[in-house]
Amino acid sequence: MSRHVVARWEDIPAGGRKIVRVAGRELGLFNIEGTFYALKNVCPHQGSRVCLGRIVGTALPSNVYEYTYGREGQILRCPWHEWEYDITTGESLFDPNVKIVSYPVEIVGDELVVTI
Amino acid sequence: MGITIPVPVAEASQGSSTTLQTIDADLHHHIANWQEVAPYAPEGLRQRLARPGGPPLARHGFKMIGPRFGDAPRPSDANGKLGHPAADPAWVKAEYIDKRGVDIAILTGPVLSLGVQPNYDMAATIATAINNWTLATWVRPFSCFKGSILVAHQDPAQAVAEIDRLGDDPGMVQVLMGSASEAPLGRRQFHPIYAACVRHDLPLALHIGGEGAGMSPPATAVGHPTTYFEWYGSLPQVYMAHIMSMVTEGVFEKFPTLKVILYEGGLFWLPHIMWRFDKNWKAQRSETPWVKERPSSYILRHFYHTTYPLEVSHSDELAEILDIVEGQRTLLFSGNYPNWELGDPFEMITGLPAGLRSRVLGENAMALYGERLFGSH
Repeated sequence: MSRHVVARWEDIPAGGRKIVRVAGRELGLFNIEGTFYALKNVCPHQGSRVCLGRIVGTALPSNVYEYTYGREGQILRCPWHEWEYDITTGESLFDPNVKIVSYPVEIVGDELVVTI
Repeated sequence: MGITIPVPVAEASQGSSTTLQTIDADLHHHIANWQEVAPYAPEGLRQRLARPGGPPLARHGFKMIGPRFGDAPRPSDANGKLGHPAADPAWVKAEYIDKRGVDIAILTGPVLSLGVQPNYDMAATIATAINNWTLATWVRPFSCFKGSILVAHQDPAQAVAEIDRLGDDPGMVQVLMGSASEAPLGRRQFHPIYAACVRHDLPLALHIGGEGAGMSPPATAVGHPTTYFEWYGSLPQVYMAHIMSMVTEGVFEKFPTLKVILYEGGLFWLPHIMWRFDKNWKAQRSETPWVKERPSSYILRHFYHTTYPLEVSHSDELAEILDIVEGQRTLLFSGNYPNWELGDPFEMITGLPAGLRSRVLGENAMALYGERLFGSH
């Protein structure tokens, strides 16, 4: 385990993202309402650069014929096959065992530090 | 027809001391004379059932090629003229039930195009008449026969009324609809029918037969087949469409105890839709957010299948497919008497993997239908 400075947090506004390379891998950094998340830029399905996908909300699990849109800005859709991932955990919405590798993020001064 | 039919030897039930029961989920009793059925109809349209040739029924226009009854036994009159093999319950009991060692047979009757008849009220009248006639002439006098509540689902309100009328009758063990339908069966107008099934704890049986008739769409998704051969071979796609509709429209989220039996559809196509459906759900889940589990889990939990006609020519593949579709739990023996044009129903299951035979012949049906199978009526 090692800690890496990956970005200045001011460079990633709320709702934004930044792709960085660190320790031989590519990461997506996401700012959701002031909280930062780091996901490996590899879709567990077929290896796409998943962090380039659309950041959206989704229809939450609901009763039959009811539609509840929510989690705007927290769902990442893979650009290849539109699988949905929860940015805050990396987990896919259809099976929590299918997940993007995620890393802990800290704010240290002006900088974001990721532990890999 | 002078053919000696081998009597199946009852086999031990997997080391258990319980007596093996053979449950035949599909016996097509026959109306030889509508004038005998007419008195059981509600008064309003009764006389139309009594007309020569029976009530008006739209048909698909296909006629079977080959020996329609195969080697099914047939009665003959004093002049040697052969009669219908399933018109007389006493004959069927003596010549099929008793000789083949069947303990209980579930009657699935003659009019499987009822749900696509254009006259809703006529269809509901026919359903009521057949149900009453079946109870009075087949089920009450013979403990070996159990009835299905036939409903005409094009008018869900009348179908629900019929289920509520007979749903607690001890002689009835399921609700029966033709799979031929104006619309996919998951659509919400049919949900009251499923609520009624659940209310009376009755499985729902779907049976092919009316595809292409009356108000039915063409029997295939690309248009009308030309021949009986093409028509019959194409029918599993109807079940594919109904399964997909019922899962995506949330039928099993609304009615988690509903069980559906698909009659005469085979099995080998099922793994395909399970896989394809699960695959697509990963991306398309948000369109039907009430589908909370992978689609195949609903399919495995809610659908049952029957053995006539089972794809048996490749026994290794059969074992593999049965494993995928959990056939040790979901496959029911169906005799399809007397429509044996594809062969003898017992010979059809000789290729079942070891250990599955007793489950398919009886245990699965007992688990599905429960006490109703054995209650007095």
